[in-house]
This record gives sequence, structure tokens and C-alpha cells, in this order.
Amino acid sequence: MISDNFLEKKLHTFFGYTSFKEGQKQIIDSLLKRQSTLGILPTGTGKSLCYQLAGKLLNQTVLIVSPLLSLMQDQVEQLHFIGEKKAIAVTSELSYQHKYFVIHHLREYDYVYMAPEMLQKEEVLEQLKTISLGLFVVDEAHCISQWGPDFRPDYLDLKIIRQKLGNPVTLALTATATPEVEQDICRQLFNENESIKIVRRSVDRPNIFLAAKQVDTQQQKDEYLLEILPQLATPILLYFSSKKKADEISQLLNDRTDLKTAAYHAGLSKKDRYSIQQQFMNDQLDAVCATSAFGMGINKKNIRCVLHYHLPADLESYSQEIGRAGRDGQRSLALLLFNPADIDLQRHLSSNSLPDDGEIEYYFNHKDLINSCLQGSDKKNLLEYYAGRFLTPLKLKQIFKKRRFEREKKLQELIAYVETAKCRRNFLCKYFGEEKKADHNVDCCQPAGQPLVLDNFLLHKPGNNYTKSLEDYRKVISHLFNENKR
Amino acid sequence: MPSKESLLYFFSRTQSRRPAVIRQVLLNKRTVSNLFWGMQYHLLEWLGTAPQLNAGAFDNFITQLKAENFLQEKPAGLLLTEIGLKEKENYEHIHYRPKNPEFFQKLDEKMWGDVLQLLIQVGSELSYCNKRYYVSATSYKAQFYFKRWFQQNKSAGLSKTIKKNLLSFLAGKLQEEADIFAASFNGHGVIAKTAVQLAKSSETYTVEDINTLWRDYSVMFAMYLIKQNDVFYSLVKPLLKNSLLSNSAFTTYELFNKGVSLEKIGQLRKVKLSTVKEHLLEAAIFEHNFTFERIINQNEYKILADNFSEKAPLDWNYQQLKEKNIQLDFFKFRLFQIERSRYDF
Ligand SMILES: [Zn+2]
Repeated sequence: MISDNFLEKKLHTFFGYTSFKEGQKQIIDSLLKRQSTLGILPTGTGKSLCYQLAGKLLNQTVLIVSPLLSLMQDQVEQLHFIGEKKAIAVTSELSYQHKYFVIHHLREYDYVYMAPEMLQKEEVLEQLKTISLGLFVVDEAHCISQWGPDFRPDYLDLKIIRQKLGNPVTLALTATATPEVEQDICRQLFNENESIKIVRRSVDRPNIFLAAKQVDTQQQKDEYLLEILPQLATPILLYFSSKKKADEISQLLNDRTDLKTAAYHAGLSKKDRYSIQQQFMNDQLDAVCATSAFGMGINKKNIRCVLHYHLPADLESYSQEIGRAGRDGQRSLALLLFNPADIDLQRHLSSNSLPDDGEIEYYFNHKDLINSCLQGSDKKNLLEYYAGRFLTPLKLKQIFKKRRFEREKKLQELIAYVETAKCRRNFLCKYFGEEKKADHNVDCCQPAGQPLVLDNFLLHKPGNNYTKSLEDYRKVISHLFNENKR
Repeated sequence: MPSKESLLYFFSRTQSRRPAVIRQVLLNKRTVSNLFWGMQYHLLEWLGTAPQLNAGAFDNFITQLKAENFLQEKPAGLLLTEIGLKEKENYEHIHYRPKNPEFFQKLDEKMWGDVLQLLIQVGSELSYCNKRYYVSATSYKAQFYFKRWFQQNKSAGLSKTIKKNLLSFLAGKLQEEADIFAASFNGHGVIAKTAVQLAKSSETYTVEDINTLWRDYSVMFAMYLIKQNDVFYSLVKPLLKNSLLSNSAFTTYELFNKGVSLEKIGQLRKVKLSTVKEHLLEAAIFEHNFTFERIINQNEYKILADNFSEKAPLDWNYQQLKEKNIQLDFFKFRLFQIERSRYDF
């Protein structure tokens, strides 16, 4: 390893931190030795810092492939925030002229974010070839695994693109990966003869207490929520699989409890989403009722409880979402509410995003019809992608059948987690192919069938500074603009 | 999406109106027929004010309003009933209605909404000499646009000027409305309230009302800034639209103003003569200086005036000319009808 002091000093100079988190230093060290690396680091453990600092030290352009516009924008904003102005996301949001300018001046940027489809463009690839790329980063690398829930067909082309760019040193990053997915990433992204350094940090978060509560009806669930939530330490993050339910429960909590609550989902305006994030970050809200859209790019340290109102899709997303609790190291709670009827809801959500046999037939035989029916949907994108690879309808049916099967398997694993009468922590570790961590005790988790004791998580905090009534606009404006300075 | 009751506003107790025309006007669907009827209903200032409108939901609302006897079917459209009028007045009493809907189409409203948020936030942080903050969620386009302006106009007094303008703009407004508008901005140590939160603090306003109020106040503030003629003029001016015409109609109209004949315009633009005529009808509706005399000659004016002057333009019937064997293009008839029913908005 490079001398300890050196990296730590640089970390402090560029980012103001005094020490690395587990895994970061190994990754940066490996990259500086020009060794391609797969980093499996849970959310909130500073994945992006790895390539940001490596980029600084290599002093060459870093290209980051990322699947989601919002993710890219969050990253760019965070870089801007720390004073790194030469970062840009080349997305559809840029005007044509601006995009053209950026693509022809790539070397002037330190960090360039792109969605994989942007790399399909010949013009972009040609320009990338002309600069010396310090690092090729594949964010959310599990998207490359066909059997995973977040599979992105475009990711499959990254291997070829990487070859065309002369196999630059690559960092693949993901928050969670089962051993199967880990192998899949290596196979799909890297060449056979390449040696890949793998740095894996445990998904286990000892300070998070794992619990699940089974109820028999929807009504019971809401009653339980109204009873327990006002007693729990805040801030609390609640996850839902539907926007409508997130709105409803947020309203319910605002009406029937003292909690200051807001709903957060893709149905809100950008402006309101920004406000809710900022209010939550600044402890002006006790609870946020969110869909999975919330959390990306949110780095709030003191979340005391992550509560799932609905079942998540699988244990991968579950462990990512509960990983937002207790980043300050303090005791926190991960509680999953479970009504057996939720299984069908989640099954419906999972399979609904995949085309069925009928839709595949229709796609090949009555293209215009299906195009108008599936306009803009994930299904259409998937069908187009596969059809573009000259696959037969039969082959497609097999592919989606297999994926449906995999999703069902993952759902069953999740249900097994909810229903396990053994240690939940060990269950999770085993699922992600990790060694057993520690012996179970009362502070570790609540296995199914055991009473749920929440004494450790009840806390009353003084009322927050959020005001419900409107302030006089003159007062607001005088807060906004400082009289003394200018 | 406007609420069901809010749609009653667009109907009249005396003039039957076709709901499809109202829907297309709100959505900014510009066929000459929609524009012509929108003009007859005096609703053109509402053009494109509800771009998010869902056509299916709109039609359902109308069906419900009929079932509730707020609207009544007539041969020429729907008429507001007595109780419909009451309902409409009740609604207007407690909900927010844009004061200057015509402003919405005079500038790039969406872009300005973003630019305004940036202006307040950047100005606020500047007044505290802070450079480390997360920029409000706005489009990249708006951020680049604003950044360029800011680099050229950044000055020690900028924050003060923004503050002064905001205060004097809001001074004449209703207190609650001004409070709501001011609560929607992010700045140094100040986080905007969301529409849901503001609706909760208000006695009567819904989330929809809050969103409408914000849009309305933003565009009113833009028009206010334009009038001040200070440093912000150059921020707002490029976002104003040159003309209310669609781009294609505007091009045709420009050629027409240069004295090019209708046939020649068709050739130059590679469009049919009927399309050229439609563009000019659109121009006649929106452009105050439209020269009707270039198309309708003295003699034709006389014929049209003789035949139709007694009735209101809406009741004119082209058939009447045919019956009298008078040869006159429908285009000229329609233009005359437009000239006689124009109003300021
Ligand atoms: Zn345990």
C-alpha cells in the first residue's frame, strides 16, 4: 500500500475528512496501482468518494456510467457543493448545443457522468477515444446482471464499449451483490484474462435492530402505525410501494398525530421534492412517507428508524433502504410491517413491469398496436432492446419467463426473511454470501414469533422548529436577504 | 389539473359554449376553429394556461357538472344554470383564480419559474457571502441561462435590488397571497414550504390553488420586473415571446407584412394556400396591427357590412351570401367576422 499518510492527507485536502471508511482505502489504493476493481460497499459508505479521490490523484478525466438521471444530477451537485466545478452530467436535459460542446471538450472536465445509452453514440465514443481516460467507472454495476431486479439492457454493451476504449482501468461499484451477481458483474464487464480486485464490505450494520411485525388486515396496519409512530425516536423514514398510499398515510399522520410528516414521490414537482429533502435534512420533518425514489443522494446521518409499510421487491433493495438508518452509528430500528395480502401486491408490481407472452406476440405481429399501448413503459423499452438484437419471440418468452421466475424466487427469499424464527442478521449475511457475524442476542434482532420490544427506540425529542402557520412575507424576505452585508 | 368546480368559470349564463373548445383553449391546441370560438367566448387569455390538463378527466367533469344540473345542454353548447352560477360564485369566493392569465402565454413560463427560484436563492446566499449550498432543483437549461446573466450582472448591490423589488411588488397584494408566494422560496437558512404544506396553513386553498397562485405571482413578478427597467430587465426580456402566434403562423405573417402575395407565400414556404389562409386567420386573431384591407377590398367591405352589420358576429351566416348569389371567399367572410369581434386581452 501507498504510505498511509499520503492518502489520508489528500483525503483531508480535497474532502475535509480525517479518515477513510472501511473499504475506501483498499479501492483507491488498487486503482492507483492501475488495477481494475469491483467495490461492493453498502449505501452511505462513500462509494463515490473512491473514484472522486482517485480521479484527483490521477489528474485525468474520470468517466462515470450511471443508470439514472437523478443519480447523476445528485452526484454533480455534490461535487459542485465541495467546490469541484469541472463536473458535468451529459444527459437529455442539456440542450443540443451544450451537449455538443461538452462532448468536444471532454478533457476540460474532471468528472463526466453519462447514461449507458449515451455511450452507444458513435460520435461520443470517438471523442472519448481522443482523451486519456483516467478511470472508467460503472456505478450501480449490478444493473448488468440479467437476473437482478434492476437489470438494464444497455449495461450489457459496456464490455464492448470498454474494449473499444482500450480497456481503461475500471471501477465497478454496487451496494449489494449476492455471490451470483458478483460473478455476473465480473463476467459481463471484464475480459476473461483480466484480474479483478474485489473489495467487499459487509452489508451488516450492527447498530440497526432488525424487526418485522405481522398484521392481518390493512386496517390493523394503520392502527399499529398510529399507535407506535408517535412514540418512536425521530427522524423516521417510511417506505411505500405506491404513491397514493404514501400520500394517504402522510395525511393520516399529520391529522392524527403531532408528527410533522411529508410525502415524497415522483408525482411531486421538482421544487417540492427539493424542499422536502432540505426540510428533512435540516430536521424540520419528523417523518417522510416515501417511495423508493427517495434516498438516492440523501445523506442524512441521524435517521432513527426505517419502516417499510409495504414489502420491498427483494432483500437487495431492503438492505439498501434500511441502510439509510443510523449512519451516525447510533442505535436505530429497521421495522417491516407485513400483511400476507402484501405478497400479491408486490408480485403484481414485479411481474407487471415485464412483458408477458401475449405482449411479446403482439409486439412482433402488431407492432403499431402494442406501441401505442405500451408507450413510454419499461416493457416497451425491454422489448425494443431485445428485438433490436434479432432475438426470436420464442427466445424472448424464455428470457422473460426466466426473469419472472427469478423475481418470484427473490420474493420468496424476502418472505422467508420476514417469517424466519431464527436470527434475521444471520439470515441476511448468509443471503449475501457472508460469514456469520456474531451470535444473536436481544439487541440484535427480533425473530418472527418473538415479542417486539421497542424500548430502546422510544424517545421523545423536543418539538422541532417547523411552523405550520404562514409567516409574514416581509419577515421571510428579511431572512432571505441579509441587510448587514450588502 | 384544474378541479371540477373550477371549470364552471369558463361557462356563461347567457352564451352557450362548447366544452371541447374550452378544453382545447386551456391545452393550447391551436386550430383556427378553436381560436375563433375561443375568441367568441372571450376566453383567449386562458390559452395554454392548463398544459397538464387531462382530456378524459375534463370530459368526465363536464358530464358530472351536467348531472348535477350546474350546466345545461343547448343547441350551441352548454349554458350555466342558475344554481351553476351560484356554485361558480361560491367557488371563486374561496379558491385562487389567476389574475392575469394572459401573462402565462407571453413568456416561457416554466423556464421563468426556475430562473426566479435561482434568482432568489443565489441573491440570498450572496447577501450572506455563502458559496457552499445546494442549488434549487431546476432544469439545467435554466441554470445555464441564469449563470450567464449572473456573471454579467453580479454586483455588490444585487441582493438589495432583488429585495427591494420583491417588497414593492408584494406591497399592493393581499397579505395571505403575498405570504404564500414568499414562503415558496429557498435561500440562506430558509427552506421553501411545499404546496401541500402551504395548503395546510391556508383556510381555503387547495394544493392546486397554491400551485396556480405560485405560477400566477411568478409571471406577474416577471412583468413587474420588465417595467422597472433595471438590471433584471435583461434577465426577463429574452424569455418573453415575440408574438402569441405559433412559429409557423408567425413566419407566414412576417412574409405577409413584407407585402408578399398569399400564393407566393405558399410557394416559398411549400405549404398549401389553405394553410397560408389559416395562418393569416390566426394572425388576425392575435395581431393588433393586422391589415385586413390587404385582403378585403372596399367593395367587399361594403357587401359584408350591408349584409351583417345588424347582428352580432357570432350569429352571422355565410350561407346568407350564397343564397343571394354573392361570390365571396369564406376566408374573407371569416376575416371580417374576426375583425368585428376582436377584443383586447
Ligand atoms: Zn439476531
